Formats: sequence, C-alpha cells, structure tokens
Amino acid sequence: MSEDIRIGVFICHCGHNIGGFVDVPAVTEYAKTLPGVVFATHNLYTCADDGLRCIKDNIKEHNLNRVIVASCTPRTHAPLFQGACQEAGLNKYLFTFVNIREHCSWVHMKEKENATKKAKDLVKMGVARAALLAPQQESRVPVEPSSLVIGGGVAGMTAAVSLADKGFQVTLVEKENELGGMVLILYNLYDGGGDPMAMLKPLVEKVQSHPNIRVMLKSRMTALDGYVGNFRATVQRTDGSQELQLTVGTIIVATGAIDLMPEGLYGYDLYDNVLNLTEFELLCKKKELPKLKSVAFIQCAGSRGQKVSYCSRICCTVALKGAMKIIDNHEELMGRQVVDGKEQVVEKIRVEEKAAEDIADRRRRRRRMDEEREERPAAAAAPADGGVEVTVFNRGITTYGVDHELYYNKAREKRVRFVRFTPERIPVVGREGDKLTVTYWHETLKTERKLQVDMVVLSTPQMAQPDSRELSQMLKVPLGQEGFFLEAHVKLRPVDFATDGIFVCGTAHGPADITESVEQAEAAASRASIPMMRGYVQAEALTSTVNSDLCTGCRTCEFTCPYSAIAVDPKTQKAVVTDVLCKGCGTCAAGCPRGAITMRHYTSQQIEAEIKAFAECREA
Amino acid sequence: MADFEPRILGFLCNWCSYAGADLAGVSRMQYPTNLRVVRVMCSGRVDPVVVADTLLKGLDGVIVTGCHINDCHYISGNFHTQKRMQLLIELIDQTPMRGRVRLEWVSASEGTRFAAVMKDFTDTIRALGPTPLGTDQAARTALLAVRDTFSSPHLRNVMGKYFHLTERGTVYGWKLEPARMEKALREVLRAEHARALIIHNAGTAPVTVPRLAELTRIPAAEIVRHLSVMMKQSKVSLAGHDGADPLFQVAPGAGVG
Repeated sequence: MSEDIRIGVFICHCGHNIGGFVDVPAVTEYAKTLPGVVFATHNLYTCADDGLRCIKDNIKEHNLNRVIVASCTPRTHAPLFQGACQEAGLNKYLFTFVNIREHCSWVHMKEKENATKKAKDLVKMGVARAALLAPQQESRVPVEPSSLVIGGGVAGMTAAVSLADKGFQVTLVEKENELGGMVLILYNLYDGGGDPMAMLKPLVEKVQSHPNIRVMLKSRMTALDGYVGNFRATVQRTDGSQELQLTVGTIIVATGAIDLMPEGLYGYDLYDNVLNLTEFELLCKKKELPKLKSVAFIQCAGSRGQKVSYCSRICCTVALKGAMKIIDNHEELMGRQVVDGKEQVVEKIRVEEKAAEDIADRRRRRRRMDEEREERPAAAAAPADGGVEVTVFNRGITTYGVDHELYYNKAREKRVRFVRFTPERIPVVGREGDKLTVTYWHETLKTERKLQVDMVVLSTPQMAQPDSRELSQMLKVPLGQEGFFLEAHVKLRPVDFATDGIFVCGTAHGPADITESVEQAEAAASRASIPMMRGYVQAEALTSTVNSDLCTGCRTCEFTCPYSAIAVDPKTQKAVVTDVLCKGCGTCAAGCPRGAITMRHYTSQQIEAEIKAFAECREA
Repeated sequence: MADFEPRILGFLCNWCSYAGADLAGVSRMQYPTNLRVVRVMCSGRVDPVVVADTLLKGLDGVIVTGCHINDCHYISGNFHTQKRMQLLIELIDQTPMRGRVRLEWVSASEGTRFAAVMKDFTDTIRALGPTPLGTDQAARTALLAVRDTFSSPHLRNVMGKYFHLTERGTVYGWKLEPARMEKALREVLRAEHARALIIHNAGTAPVTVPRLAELTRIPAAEIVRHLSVMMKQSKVSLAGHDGADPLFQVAPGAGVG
C-alpha cells in the first residue's frame, strides 16, 4: 500500500462518563505517538455539534484519510461519525470506532490507572486497524416488479391476488390442471362448517380474471437462476410441450402438502372401509358413504413418532368435524344404488368400483383381500336414537385455537365417545365376519375391549410434497427435518427464506388449516412486495470476495453460507460471491481451506493487526 | 506472579456479545480490566488459526463469544463457530496451553452474564499464570502443531461441510448420520494433528521413525502411515538410513509457521 496513511484520533470525555474514570489527555498524548497518527485531540462531547465540526475541520486541515473516534459504542453512534466523515469527503468505511465507555470507563470505575491503560491499548488496536482499512461502496440492485407464485392452492391464489391487487405482475404456476389444491376434495370446512366451494370459487374466478395474473396450469418450474430482483425462471408444461422464460423480482413457494397414506397401519391396506381422513372427506363430498352405525376415528395415525415425528395439528379438529357430520348428516351423505329395482344404501366401499375412483387411483398399489365378498342386504336398523355411534381413539385431543375447543364440547354433546390410548398400546383394527373391529386397551378399566364398527377413519398427517427436495435445490432454500420448507427464523421471519426474495406460505411450510394458510399467504405477499414496491435492494457493502488464484473450487464456502451467496461456478470451478445476497458474516472466510476468501472490512490482515497491536502493548 | 495481570483478547460478535458488553457498561457492571476487544460481525468470522496465532503472539488467554445457538444474526454462523472452537479447544487442552481458550455464548440482554464470564475467565487465566510460551519450547511446538492442524485444507473442508452433509445430505441426497460424520471428522482431526506434530517435532535434521514416535508420542505404525502420505505431499523426503532405520527429512516450510 503506497498510500500515505494520515490518521486522526478524536478522544471523547463524554463529560464525566469517560473523563471521570480514564485519563483522557494521557490517552490523547499516547495516540499522538502511534504510527500513522498525524493528529489527535480530545473533546468534551465528540458527538455534539462542535465535536463533529472538529472532526470535519481537521479532516480538511490535516488532510486526514483515516478517522478514529474513541468514545461510546458503534452500535449507537457509528452512523453519526461516519456521516461527519462523509460530509468532509471521506469514505465512511475509513472510519474506526474505539469503544472506551461501555467497554472501559463504565466497567472499570474504580481503577483509573488500569482503565487508562486499557483505553490506550484499545486506541492502539484501532489505529493498527485503521491503517489497513479500504474504502467501500454500497450498491443498489433494481427489482423487477413481478412475482412467481408456485402452487395454485388457497395459499398460492391468495398470495397471487394480494400481489396482483398491489399492481405487480404475477405468474401463478400449478402442476395440476385445476386451481384449488387440497380444498377441492373437502366436503365442508370446520370454521362455520361452510361449503369449501363457496369460498374457493370466487377466489379461483378472481385469479382467472385478474388482469395482473397469468395462470399456467399443468406446469412446473424446471430451472432457476439469478437472485432477488432478478430471478430468471424456466416454466415448463408437465407434458413438455411448452417452455417459458420469466424474469421476476420475487418468488413465493406455496406448493402445499399431501396426505399420508398410512400403509401398514391399522389395517389400512387390508380391509375395506378403512380410510384416511382425506379419503373420508372425498367420500363425503361425493356423497358415497356406506351404511353406518358405528364409526371409529383413530388419531395420530402415522404421526407423532409412527411414520413422521411431528403432530399435524389440524387433524383433531378435522376428525371432530368428520364425526359430527356423520352424526348430523349421515343419511344425506350415504351412497345409494339400485338393486332389484329398490334403492339401497351402499354397504361397503368397494374401492375399485365406487366413487371413489379417485381413491382407487390413490390406492392403486394397494393389496386387496376379500375378493369373494358378496353384496349383502341392508344391515339391521340404526341405533334406537337413529344416530351413528362415533368413537374417537386419541392420544389427547388438541383442538387448538380460540373457537375450536367448542368443537370438542359440541362433539361430546353429540355423544361422540373419546377413548385415549398410549403409543405403547395402540388400537388394533381387525375383522370379524363382515364387521371391522377395533381392539383397544381401556386405560381406566385396565382391560382390553373390542368395538365393532362399520368404518375406520385414520387421522393421518399432512406431509411434505415428495418433489420438495428438487424444488428446494432449485431455489437454494432449506428443508426442515420432515421435508417441509424451512423459514429464516421461526418467530421473527416466519414467511421469509434466508435467501432474499423468496418466501413461503401455506402447508408447504408445515401442517396448517385454511385460515392459517391464508394468513401466511397475505404475509408472504406483503413481505414480497417490500423490495418490489421500493424498486431496488440495497446491497451490503461489506461482502466477501474470492481470490480466484487461490480458490480450488472445493465448495466448502458454498456449504457454509446460510444465504446461498457464494457458490462455485461450474464453468470456471471457482467460487463466486453474489454481492446482493451476501450479508457479510464472514463465516466463509474463516472456513476457507485455502485462505482464498477475503471478508471486506474484517479482513484477516485487519484482525491480525489489532491482535498484534495488543500483543505489542507489553509496557506502554 | 503476584502482580501478574493476564492479557486477554476477546472476539465479540457485533449483534449479541458486543451488545451484551455494551449493556454491561450501561449497567455499570464492574469486571477486571484485562480484556481487549476485537469486534467481528459474527463469531463465525473467527478462524481457529487466528485464535491459535493470538496465543502464539504471547497473549495469556483468548475468549470467543457469540450469540446463543439458534439466535445467530446470520442464522447458522455460530454453529460453525461451535464446531471449530470445540475441536480447537480439544487440541489446545492437550498442550501446556490448557484452559487458555474459551467459547461462550452471551446475548445482547446478558450484560450481567458478560461481566461474570469475563471475571471468571480472567480469574482462570490469573490462576494458570502467564503464558508458558516464552520459557517452554515444548508448549510452543505443541501450539504450532495445533495451529497447523487447523490450517489443513482437508480438516477445514470436512469441518465446513459438516452441517451440510448431516442436514442437507450429499449430492446423492443421503444424509450422513451425525455420529458417522463426527467419527469421520475426528479421524481427519487426529491425522492432521499427527502430521502437524511430526512436522514441528522433527527438527531440522533427518530423523528415524522410532525417534519421531518418541517425540510425538504417536505409535510408530501410525507415524509410518502419515509419513507415506506426507511424502506424496512433498512435506517429507527420504534422507538416507541410520542402520536399518530409514531417515526422514521434513521439507523446509512444510509447517505454516
């Protein structure tokens, strides 16, 4: 560095705060002896107008090209002093802060001599650092005012409408040939029990007719390049017939979830009339329930340690919704067929034959027993009160939410039976004659009991989409342990990804009901609109940079960076930093096997100079 | 020893620990004056090599502080800090520099904790006495070996990929069991440490395997294995025989320091 280093040091008394416990004039005299220091002074209050003027005047008078203020903490006062430097024409990154109040005078109030010694050392370290500082530039990157929403369920559509209403161009990509997602197969909704289509249809219509939304059905994103403000996505029809290149500013992931097929659990693949919660909803929707006198729901089927570790949250409430609709409406929901000129209620769900073609399709891999089963005449009359007996086997009912506890009370009023079980002794579903049986351990009576039922509904959890991994690799965003998309911070940034410009909502993020999905979608749309509304993103000036002569392309940095800001270019086999994404933590620089990465403003040389300065302070 | 004032360097992350130190100040928590602070944006910026170097420069103790796990301002920086420092401290504690490096989590709201941690660490170093580096050549050799271990590209590569491989998986999509990954990491650490010990204990003259085994306290069979690798890396060459024992010469500049 051929540059002539001219350092100015301004030491603050902060009234009595520093001056009372540190010998400020002595520190100032000491500063004058340090290499590179051409000017040192002390002020009563450096942050006051005359203090700031003193900095500006002396930068000009002494032609200072580095400024050090030794006073309070950079966390509150750095911008003020940096501003003064800038006003005097000095790049703000040539300013160094030395903390001799919070870290010195205030914590060593009874040791003036040692505190003064410490202040001198700290100033010396600051001077050593300052000599090695380099000017830095902040840059702005323009943001395309358009968004790509992946997934056309309720979450995706809500986010799309929200963004489109704000005036942004939205491309909504859905892999199926219909908008609606999971809600399409629901019979009713638990909040208010309304018809899902009454909610879904207006939303779909709004999406389809919105001038700012382009809907692409039977399509998926196949490639992605770029970064916040400037993503370049390739969207392809699933049949491969069409391909489209888009440039968008932000991306919202709303790919939803799927239901678990609890194969191998509770006779799901052995017996007719054993369904999971989603299949049950579908049957209700198609009004093809069999004749029912007694129904068992088994909660936590496959979740909480069986196949997945988590609780899917909404299934308790959904199961109670199901129990009540059987009790209230089973006549209406039953499937009917004409046998010998007489209409009869369907006895069994014959998966391959019935409605349930969708279910058949879902279950096409499933082994079938009871090939020879005959159609039987209608079963005996329903219980005396004409209702259906519903038993909910559970590991503790969790109808979370302000209103949902009422569901539980209501279900009890309707004489739904609740039987608790523990994971050590789960109920066993079997068959006796043409009846299903549930054998369970009665926790209170301490005996084994058997219940005859017509149908078993397994409350299975929502699961991550199987193609999430592929998508997460394309987006360079993480998945959690269970394969759901993982947000940047569970509490503070619940719909952001760590990677800027990409957001998540709905069940792609984890089990959620419609209300929560919509909330998240609105949140994600709102977050996504921030950079688009502003029109630019401010790139961090303090980013890391790679010396490609030293880089061996080992990708250690790529795997260390939480923001996907550094990656090895497959062509050159050298790491490249995307400045817009880099937040300047320096973790890559501290881990680079070849020392090829420099963290601007916190370079190894700067850090080592500070340490060396302290090491040399033996006797000052 | 009575008037020994430990010289302690602290690396403080900007968002938690530095703020915690600020709060200790605002709350007028008094603690010993021995600490000097280097501010870094994230504790993940702290290279274990730099920590070892700090001790080599003659300071008595180094403390690295960062945000509590899961509270890192940069999401996962402190996971890397934890892994790096755990390994570093493990090796340091096998040398006469035992106890002179510490890792602590201090949040922005833990002013009291910051003061307490600094007091405790200062007391610890005061009890340990001045750094033995000036008088104890063995301590310097051991510390140089630790420093070089953490300069090893192989170790740094495996450390850096640790969380990726256990949490996101390999290019083929399989995740490594943390226990398995830990084992692999330990193997690399042990091997790189052994090689650094060989380099720094061999001295300038050619030396035999049994002598190296004696100097480094590593079994001869292991030494032979390491020497064969180090010959390929041109860090060691064959330099004649002493009777039946081959003599090995460490290349000048094989150790980073």
